[in-house]
Amino acid sequence: MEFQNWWPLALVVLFPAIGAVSNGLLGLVNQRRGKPNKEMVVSAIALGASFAAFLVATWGVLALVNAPADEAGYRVLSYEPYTWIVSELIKVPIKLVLDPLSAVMVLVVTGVGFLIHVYSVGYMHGEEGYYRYFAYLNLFMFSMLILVLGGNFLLLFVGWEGVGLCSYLLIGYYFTKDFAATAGKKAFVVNRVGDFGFLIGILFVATIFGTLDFDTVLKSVGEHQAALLTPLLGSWGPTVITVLTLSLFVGAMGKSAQIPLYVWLPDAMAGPTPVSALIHAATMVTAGVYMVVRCSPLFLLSPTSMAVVAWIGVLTSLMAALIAMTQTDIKKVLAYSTVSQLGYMFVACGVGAFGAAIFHLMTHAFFKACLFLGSGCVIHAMHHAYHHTGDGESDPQDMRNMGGLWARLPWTFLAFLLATMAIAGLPPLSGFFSKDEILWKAFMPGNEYGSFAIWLIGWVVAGMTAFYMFRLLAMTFLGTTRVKRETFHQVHELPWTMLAPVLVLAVLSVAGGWINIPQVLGSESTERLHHFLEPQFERYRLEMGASDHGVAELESAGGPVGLGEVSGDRSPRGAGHELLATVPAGGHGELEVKQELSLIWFSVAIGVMGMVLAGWLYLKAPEVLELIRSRLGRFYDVVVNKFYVDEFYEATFVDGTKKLGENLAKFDLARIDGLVNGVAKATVWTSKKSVRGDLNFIDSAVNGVGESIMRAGLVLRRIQMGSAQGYIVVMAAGLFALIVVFVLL
Amino acid sequence: MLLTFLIFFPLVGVAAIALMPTFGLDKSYAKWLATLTAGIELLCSVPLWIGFDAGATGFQWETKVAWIESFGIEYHIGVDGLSMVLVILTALLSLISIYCSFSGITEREREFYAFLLLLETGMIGAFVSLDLFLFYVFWEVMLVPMYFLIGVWGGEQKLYAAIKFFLYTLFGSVLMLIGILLIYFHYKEASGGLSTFDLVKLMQFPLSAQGDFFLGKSTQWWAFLLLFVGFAIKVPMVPFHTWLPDAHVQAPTAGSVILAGVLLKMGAYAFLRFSLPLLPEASIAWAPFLMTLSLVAIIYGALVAMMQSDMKKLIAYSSVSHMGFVTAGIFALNYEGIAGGTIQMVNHGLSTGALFLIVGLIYERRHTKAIADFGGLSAKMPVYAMLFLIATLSSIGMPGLNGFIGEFTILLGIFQVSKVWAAIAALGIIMGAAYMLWLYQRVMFGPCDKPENQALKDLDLREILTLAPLIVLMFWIGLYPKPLFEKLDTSTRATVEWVRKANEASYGAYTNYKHRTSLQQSHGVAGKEEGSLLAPESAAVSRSDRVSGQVVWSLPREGGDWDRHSASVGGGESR
Repeated sequence: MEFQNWWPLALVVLFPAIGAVSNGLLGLVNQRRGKPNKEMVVSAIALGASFAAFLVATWGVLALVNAPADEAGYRVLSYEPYTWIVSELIKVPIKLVLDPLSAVMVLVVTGVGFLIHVYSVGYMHGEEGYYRYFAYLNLFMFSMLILVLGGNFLLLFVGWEGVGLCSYLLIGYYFTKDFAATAGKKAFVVNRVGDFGFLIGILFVATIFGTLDFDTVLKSVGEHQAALLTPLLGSWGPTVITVLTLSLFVGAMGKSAQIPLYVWLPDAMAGPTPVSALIHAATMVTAGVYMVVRCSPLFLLSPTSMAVVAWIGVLTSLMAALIAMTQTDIKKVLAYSTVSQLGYMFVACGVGAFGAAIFHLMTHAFFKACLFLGSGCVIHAMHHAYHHTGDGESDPQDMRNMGGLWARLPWTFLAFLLATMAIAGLPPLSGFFSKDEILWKAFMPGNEYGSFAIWLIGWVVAGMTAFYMFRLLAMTFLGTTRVKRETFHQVHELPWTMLAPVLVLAVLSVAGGWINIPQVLGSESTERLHHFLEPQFERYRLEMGASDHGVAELESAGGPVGLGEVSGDRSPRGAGHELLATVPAGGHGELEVKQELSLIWFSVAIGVMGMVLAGWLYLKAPEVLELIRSRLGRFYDVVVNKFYVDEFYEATFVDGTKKLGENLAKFDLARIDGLVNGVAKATVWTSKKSVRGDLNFIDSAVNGVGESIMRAGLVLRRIQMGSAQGYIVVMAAGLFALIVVFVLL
Repeated sequence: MLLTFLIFFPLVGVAAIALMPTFGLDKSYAKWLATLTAGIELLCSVPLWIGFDAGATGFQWETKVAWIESFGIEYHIGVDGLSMVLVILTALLSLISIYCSFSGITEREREFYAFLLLLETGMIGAFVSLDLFLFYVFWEVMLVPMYFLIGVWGGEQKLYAAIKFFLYTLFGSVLMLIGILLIYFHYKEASGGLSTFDLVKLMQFPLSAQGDFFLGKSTQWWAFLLLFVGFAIKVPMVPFHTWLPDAHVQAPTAGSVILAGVLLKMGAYAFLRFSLPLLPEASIAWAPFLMTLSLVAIIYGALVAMMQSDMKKLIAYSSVSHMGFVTAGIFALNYEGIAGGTIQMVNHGLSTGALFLIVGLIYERRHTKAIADFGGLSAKMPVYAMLFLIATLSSIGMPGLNGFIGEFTILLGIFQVSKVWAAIAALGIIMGAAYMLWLYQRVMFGPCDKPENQALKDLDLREILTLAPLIVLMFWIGLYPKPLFEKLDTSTRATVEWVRKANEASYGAYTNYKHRTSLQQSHGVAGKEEGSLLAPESAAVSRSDRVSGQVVWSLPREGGDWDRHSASVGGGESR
């Protein structure tokens, strides 16, 4: 398959980069000259850049669809301007690749990104550092596009670190507030822990495959199966592929906020709300999912890694949903909800439903961005109302101070309601289709990666999701208001420039799922997204199956049998292709249709239950709620306090490292430097004995005060005149002893 | 001739500054004279980069003149990729350190700039020397001006720091001299009475790696140890590093920039230039130990840096950590490690140089370097904030900037030797982010609540200009490092092949090198694709053939020496 050279791909990336640089420089120059930055100019540049990127991306996807395909239906466009890193082992070019997978991502990033740019114009109006905000936002778009378009591991890593940086800068946007600056640093450092794993994974890939190019690596997975399936430590231990994929997954845990590295995401809400919507909900945090999907052929080789991915995902989704049920800060609820939904996406990856993961990633981008922007509207409106009434005390993000806002913010409420129904998985909204597919794939008989337990937890979490989302809706918009009377009347609906993006996203949350209606429900146009993505997964699967000896080795090594099936008589487009290509085929018999349909009923049922329960508890029966809370007692406290994980990390890793650093610093001063000074002192002592001079220069040096330059020159001359011989001998002996000690150790 | 000019031209500046009173020039002209000299020097070093033939083996711009004939000492200079890059870095940082001192140095200006120029002569001389004795002379020449820069224009404890720096380094160089003499006498014996300090000639008779010279160890082993102490103090490697924080904290900004940017490179450079080629077997034997020290330096330096309360001290310890990366790369003894180590030397010069400048800028304004005295500067000094951020990101290895290129390549090198070592080194990257961002946060973020900081002025044009070249280079190396890789290719390859050839058996055992070739036959990128580093014809040749097919520095064939040489290296050679 030839890669089609398509240079405009560079434009997708360049437009946001130019926007970022010009806004940044213009802003700095203006600030230096003491001239205020014109918001019009800044937003025109930023919006122009992101819209241009969106246009070119759309053009690219159209070009991709019309590009010539290979026999498996795989299409790809690429652009490779120059070679970046060259060594004996690897050669890494700057290479942008637009294939079906990155096409979906690029549209989400530029589309949602542009909407959030529009929203930000109103939201950030009047902020100090307006230009800085938009420069960072464009820089983020640039990095995210590099991430999804990068054609090799290292370029993906460039984008990966780049989005991390922008996240750091934007979380710390209100840098004069300590908590914001601290949250930014926390996000960066926790992400770095993940990056550590990712980097190790990349090193594995580079040394095993001798290249970092995605296409080459993934196609040759089959060829290298023997090497990949060797145990890492001689004859025992995990296989190379397991360690490799788990290292990569550690990176995904960091970026996509999974246990145990999720702690940074809730704190990241210190940034402006549109940033939370774009970076910490819709795009950046899904990078881990994207990366795992991108490397799916590697993951599929290791059942252990698949299981780890699935279980980390499902446990994260459970824990985050539990916490979300108890939070009172509107953004915190949404943040934990994001963590939980990301868990879902990893469940999809772990059970082999990579297409479903991307599908959920996409629908989640729509409804979660909508929810965040909606909450931004609420916060913005509340903030202004408090400001008007001179109330500097109340927290505009605390849902306990809200309620009944639907009357004041009808459009926001409408959008919020639709998005809430979408995330709760009510048919026929987008979340219903994507979540349902994940649950079905987890349950599906014949899917060796799935399991009943995972399905069960996922199903329960679906109910919890509906519960906490309707709890949020009820506490914010419904019931009798808890806002003070005069404040309540100061709450106003926001201007259309801000409402429009919210409403567009609401429409997408409703309709976004229709591009991928499961076959059991649909008639004509079902599973379009999967058909679009299928050649992507098919491409590498065929290559794997083609290598017969590889499969034989694989089977003898006790590897997954499912891969062996692929090389059998089943044609790529044979039976069961409606199941995602990467899930081993099971027939789609009558029994399974029934199963799938009944599972759909199950999901809808628990969603409705959660919704009704939340409505009833928070609107009609607060006394029952109190009763439940008091019954739960300590457990409730633990959940409200987020299982004390932050405190635990603070006490162990953070303080531990600081203590170690402190002790080492003392050791450095007292022991290592002390030894050097000790040798020096001993020398002086020897010199005194042997020379009997007044040569106490080291003492005076150690005391170090008030020495004149003349004297220094004098001392220097004396050293050169030979009285330092004894000094050097003793010092030599001392350091020699030191080396001997080190050699022996 | 170009190199000779580069070495001695700064002395013209020194002379001009010395003669200033004779011509009745006011002392305020000293800085301009120095800037002019360093500027011309930098311009004249650029042809080195442009004219450097990346494909040619051996040294370029070579000059060889007899100096002290009775001992076979020659004025032999020349550059390969490694030293060429470092010479240009030296010229650049010298100019910057002169230019950055305009406002900070108000006392005894003439001496100050004269010392800086003298230092430049020493540094460039050391980088281009191919004669061990000549190298030693320049090595010592560097010491004196630095001693005075710290001792005269330094902070409160300048004398302590200056003397510590001087004696510590002097001690190392004495041992180094003994090591050099060991090599010299060995050559004399092996060649039947010929005397030389010439690196290229000395390589013909590698020191015996077997036998019992002293305490059961071979001559090479001991020679390596002696050189090691001298170089390790200069790098500095843990545990020889304690002079560094003192020197940095006390030195004036220009001194810190030169110290971090160039002088620390001298040790790592010397390992590559002398230890590896002259003592290859010992290098392999010592590599695990040096690797361990390097990894300790990475982690230890980072942890100690984290808890410092003085900005300069923090950056000094971060230098220990970063130089640990460099030495770890070098002693991975493979292509990626050495190429990455060399690039990281340049990177560290740029990023740490920039960081010291940045601290210097704020020190000139507030006369304090204590982190606790700052906070919230971002709001007052946006340009400063931006440049500080870029330097910080470069230092913590953000992709797109230079640091990442070096660190990644080094990790790739170490990983091929040991996965565990690579993992330990990579831990240093997490810590780097932690301490640098914490520093940045404490200085730049938060409320600006100190009254003294309220009136801080942002950078003026001169200050921006001192930092600008470094920032540009950071981006350049980060985004398009290929030319750098290419210029370094031949020298890196030569060093690796030389070590590899010295003792195939122990090299393979150390670097896991055979394992690697079998695994990546299918995709071994080198040589396969257009524009690769290898010459096209050698791509077809298998790796082991290439070893002997490659000319490793053009060795002169004098008399019958060559045959003896190939016999002593043993096998493989067929000339």
